[in-house]
Amino acid sequence: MTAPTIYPLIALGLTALAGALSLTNILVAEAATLIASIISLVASLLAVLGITTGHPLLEGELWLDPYSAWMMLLVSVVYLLTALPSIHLTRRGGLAGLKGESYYLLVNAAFFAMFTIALFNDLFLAWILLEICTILTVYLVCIKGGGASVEAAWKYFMICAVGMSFSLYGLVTIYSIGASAGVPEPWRWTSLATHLDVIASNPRSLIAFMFILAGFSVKAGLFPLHFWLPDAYAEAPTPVSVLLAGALTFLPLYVLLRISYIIPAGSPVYLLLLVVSVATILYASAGMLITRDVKRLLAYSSMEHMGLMSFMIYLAHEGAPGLALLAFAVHSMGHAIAKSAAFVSSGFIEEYRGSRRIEDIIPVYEADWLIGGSLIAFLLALLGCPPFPLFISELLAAASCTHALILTLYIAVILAAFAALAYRMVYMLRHRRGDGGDPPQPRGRSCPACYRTAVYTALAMLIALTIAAPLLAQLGRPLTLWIAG
Amino acid sequence: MRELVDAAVSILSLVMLMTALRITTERRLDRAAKIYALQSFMLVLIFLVMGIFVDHLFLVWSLSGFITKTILVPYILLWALRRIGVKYDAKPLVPVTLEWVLAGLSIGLSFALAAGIVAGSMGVLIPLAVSLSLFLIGLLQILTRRSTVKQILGLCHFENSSHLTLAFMAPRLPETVEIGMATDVILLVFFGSILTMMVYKQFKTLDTSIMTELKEVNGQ
Repeated sequence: MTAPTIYPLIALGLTALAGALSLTNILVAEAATLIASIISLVASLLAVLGITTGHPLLEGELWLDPYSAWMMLLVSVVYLLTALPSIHLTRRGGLAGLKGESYYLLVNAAFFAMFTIALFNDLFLAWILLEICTILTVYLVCIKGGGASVEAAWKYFMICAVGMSFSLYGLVTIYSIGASAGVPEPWRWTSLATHLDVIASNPRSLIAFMFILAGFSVKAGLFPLHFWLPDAYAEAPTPVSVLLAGALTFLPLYVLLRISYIIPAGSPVYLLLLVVSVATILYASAGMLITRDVKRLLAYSSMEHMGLMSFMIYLAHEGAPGLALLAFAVHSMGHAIAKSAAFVSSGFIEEYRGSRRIEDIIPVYEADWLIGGSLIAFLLALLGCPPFPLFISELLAAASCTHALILTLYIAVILAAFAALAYRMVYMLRHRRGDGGDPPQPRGRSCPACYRTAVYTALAMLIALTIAAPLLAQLGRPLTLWIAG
Repeated sequence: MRELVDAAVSILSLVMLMTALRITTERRLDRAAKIYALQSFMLVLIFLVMGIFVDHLFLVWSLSGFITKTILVPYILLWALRRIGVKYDAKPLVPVTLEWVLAGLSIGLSFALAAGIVAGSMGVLIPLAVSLSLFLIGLLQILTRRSTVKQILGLCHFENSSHLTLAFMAPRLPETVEIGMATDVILLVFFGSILTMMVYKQFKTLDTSIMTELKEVNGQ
């Protein structure tokens, strides 16, 4: 077994160990989770740096190529940015009716499942793990207590469970098509991807892919079954919002990207994906314009970025694949870092002001100018301003549009999303608190060290990604080449 | 022998379909959970028959289905119902007559779809049609029934439907899938029941249409 193969397994093992240790006591749970997240980050980074050949290093139930190593790195980044604010959440007693130890158990179990999804090859395993992640995090969404959070959790639970059932039906159908045609191991996407003719020739595959797209779209918060997303993000405590926005909502798109390699070229599913992406970006832009809640603003921004990344999946097949895949990799990482950190910063400001209303929290730098300034920087990153990584990825995606009409459509939706978030940012910077009524008095708490560490770590990661982005050209290698080794 | 197996599987599938209709319209929630146990037991018997006469792999499916779906899932639901002390379902969103009509249409559509997929063999057609019917009835139940417990049972219909489809359209899957499906259903019902108790604690009812706090919070 080569060194880069061991690194992801170290991350998996440590997460499982941290989950088991969480049951002992809260201090051990905190320390084990934090240490596991740091070592996982280092191990994933070493895996990314260590895979220099085009050959996949794991080819069984788990699949390790540079792209999956990159996704491991993304999950480990979010793991660390979740572990840090979790310390504050459990110490201040923000868990209604749940022990801190159980909280850490659920968080570690969710990250263990997410690490495994990053390495998936078995379609059913990916489905089961996504479903389990959803169920585990449903409980985390409502741990604050209160009617609104229970309602948000129920919506999240039902909508995602129904959506995932649709995708399971689709996967079963694809499996049966492959199995009846004698495809070896037809539960693996790598195996099915080398027998595309079998799938293309069966008319049932179109319905199956529609079901799969519908199911994973629900989980990724894409239009029109996105209703759960703004509510769940807004009502969840800060670390859970980080977990959801940074990794869990994105991973269904990563699974969809891999599955897209078993969808035959020219299939109407790609057109449907394009329509869903554009509708999601436009709907999210409208949501950003009208919302008055900072966490909902970030949630609609997440929807917008999920829409953009599904557009990139479309471009990976109907545009220049290399550029689109590189754009997807950079965009997903940039979004995970900036969005996670934006939730941490806004989480502190919300605590300081005792309100999530934008009118109540402005000027955002008043509570702590470094944290408030960082929130502005993260929002600029999410806007896609240069030199942040999302600017690079959005340019790469534009360059991957090979059709003038698609390029025009892409630019139009990007501008709509930019205008909506920029309008909200200008509002936050120019207006003064109290313009909309009596503001709440600040509670005057200083920023917890763990929040501060998370925000500064994320800033450093964003800078590192900006510098490293031009060096990631390998991630633009078409995934089909890795299947062939 | 093959005809006998097909006949047994078809009859057991049809009993599953009848239990699904009964669960949807049953007003007593505890009774609905018990009928679900019966539905799952029919599924277990189907796997048992297939395990003995077709492929021994199904014996494992049968055992795991018995432990998880026939015993644990109804037990968890009944435990949650006992804890909160609610006995009856909330009034459905549409009249029961319309529900029956929609259920009938779903079954008709499922049989038509199944006939299009597997022409010929009745031993596969009926279970597949029942599986599709369970899926659509589960969806109907989630859309028309307002009680959280009925909605969880709707999800359980999805699970049984997928399990039945897996058996007939995707046999010889790795054991990890079976273990994963079993874990999934237990977690789904356990956390769904915990949420149900939280809903009751907050709103003093299981009626999901009462939950409107998010609209108030967001000023909609």
